[in-house]
Amino acid sequence: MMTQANVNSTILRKYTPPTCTLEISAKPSPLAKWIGNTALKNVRFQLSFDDPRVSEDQWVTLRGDRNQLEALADVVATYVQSFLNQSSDLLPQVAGVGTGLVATIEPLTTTLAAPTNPYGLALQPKGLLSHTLTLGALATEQSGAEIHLTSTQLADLATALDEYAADVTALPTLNQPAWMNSPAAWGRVVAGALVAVGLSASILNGLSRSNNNPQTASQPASSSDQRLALQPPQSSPSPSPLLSPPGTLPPSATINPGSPPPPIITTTPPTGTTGTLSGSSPSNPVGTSGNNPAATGQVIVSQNPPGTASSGSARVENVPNAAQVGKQPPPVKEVPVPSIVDQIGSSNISSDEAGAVSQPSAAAARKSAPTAPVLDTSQAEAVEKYFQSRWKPPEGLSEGLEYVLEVDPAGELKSVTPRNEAATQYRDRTGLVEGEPIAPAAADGKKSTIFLRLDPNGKVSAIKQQL
Amino acid sequence: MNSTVIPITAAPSFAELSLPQPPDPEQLDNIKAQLDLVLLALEAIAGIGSEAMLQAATQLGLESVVADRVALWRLRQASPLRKGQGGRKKLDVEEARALVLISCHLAKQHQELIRRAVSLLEQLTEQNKPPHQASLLGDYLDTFQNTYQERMDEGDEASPEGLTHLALKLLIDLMFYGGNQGARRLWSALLDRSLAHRPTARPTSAS
Repeated sequence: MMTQANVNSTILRKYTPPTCTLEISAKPSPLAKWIGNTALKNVRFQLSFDDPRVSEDQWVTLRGDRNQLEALADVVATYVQSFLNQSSDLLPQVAGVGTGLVATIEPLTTTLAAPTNPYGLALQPKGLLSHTLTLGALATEQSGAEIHLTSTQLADLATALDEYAADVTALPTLNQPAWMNSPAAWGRVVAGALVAVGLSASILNGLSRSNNNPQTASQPASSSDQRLALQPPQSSPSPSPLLSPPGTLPPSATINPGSPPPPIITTTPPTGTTGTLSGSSPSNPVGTSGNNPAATGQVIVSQNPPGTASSGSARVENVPNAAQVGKQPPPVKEVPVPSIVDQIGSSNISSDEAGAVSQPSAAAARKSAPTAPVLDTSQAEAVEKYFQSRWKPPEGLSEGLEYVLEVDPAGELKSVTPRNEAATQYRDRTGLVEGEPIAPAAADGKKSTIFLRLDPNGKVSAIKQQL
Repeated sequence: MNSTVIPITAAPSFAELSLPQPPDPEQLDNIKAQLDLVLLALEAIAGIGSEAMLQAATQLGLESVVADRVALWRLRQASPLRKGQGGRKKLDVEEARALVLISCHLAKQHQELIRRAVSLLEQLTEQNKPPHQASLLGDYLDTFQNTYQERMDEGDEASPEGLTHLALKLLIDLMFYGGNQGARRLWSALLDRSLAHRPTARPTSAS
């Protein structure tokens, strides 16, 4: 599950497979206007190994920059491939030698060469089901020099890193049709595509004026598809090592160059970003609500200002992971936002300029923690606390209850909408009472929508919808 | 405002599952064997039958390659490990790719189940308990073993421990093959093995 929010100039991505959380923050480069690229800078990541099946004091959080993240992704991808390649060694020789199956149940030996990389990151097998990640430069006092991952944790880590890689643009890997190179083409948005949002209008507007950026000269598609382009520190057009051919995306996917920085709608996917693992019963450690534990397919797409000359119509699309079979996609909302093309001039997009789209309540957090991932969490946190003390999971509850709460500007609960069947069934056991004050007054004086999830293990999660 | 639901993980196109050069017969042998076993693991864990495989083929637009039950059987029977000398033993690259895509599609469909099985395995292993203690795993291992012994030429000679090891490894592999990069990973794994048998130096595995 990936959620994204744009808090003014800090672009955030969040990938939440069941046992880890990868958060990415970055700023749009002020140069983007001139280099015609959806360039980002100051990419920072925070990777939390927060497996609900283990106690919180064992959770480990790593932080670093883009290069370190890519090095980690490289190590993981290489290691996973080596791990998979080993299966062929378990087969009987097919060339007639007939050694028979490998009878040992011993863990796979450490024959996997530890890839070296500048940050000292490495993965080694510790048996069939356990893998040791040497943290190198990412190690902290809390984490120690290495951590151990189970196979499911490794798979989740690989999933999060794959999702990030898919969102990051480097070189185009598909031949672009001729129309992609024409300025007029940038004005068109093609339906049916993933769109990575979180880019300022300045970046996108630059696309129609210039595609002479050395980074994009060889990457015309990078600005035309919806993924983020990372501005490499050395300004070299070398592709990100992370990237694999994005063959899944149709080449015609484009970002509307006129799109303003998206007010992103963050939703709690039905499969749950947290608490999908109950951890309480050995026979059902995963997905008590039938969730797809590796669901990472949520992409929130911003909308498009109507009437912009060169613009088409970007869609707000909520794209559930295809494997989330049977789950309803979260509600999708399109919020028209005036273009902030005129505001490009300033190198600092202030909170005032982006007032139409920003979360004012996040401004303080943003200013004080430029590198920390920032979501407007104050109201959501209050709601979580409110319910944490009240939520008593009923006996026999096997899946999380999910609600959409409307909270008025004064912080009172206006309405409750169940989002799944269990939520409807157990509505009266939740302590949700309309009219009750459940949150502080909204800093922006507006009403808000909060997605609430109550898990059978007692965990409460709340996320505020970013308007 | 349109709200369109799009599966993020569309199947990779054939172009992305490429080969540096056509495999020789021995390499194809390896590929055939591995593919048959990946499908066997899927059968054993999720009760997937040929019907589900054919349905996957249809969903992926691969009917021309895997048209019907007979065609599917022949493709799988091409594995050199299988009993029976009669029947088609060929599997061309297009067919191999199709089986890769079908396998990963099915692994993704049953991702939750596969993941639960691996989680159980992790828990039991941590507690030093045998995997058979969990019925999901016990059933999987029994089915895998029985089917393997029934179908494979030297099936009866395979030791239970060896089969268990193979089955569990394949189960974990399925968890990765059901992910977003699954098809590319499976393809690389197939090629890695086959390339290893070449007389030339072993290339680094593709990621």
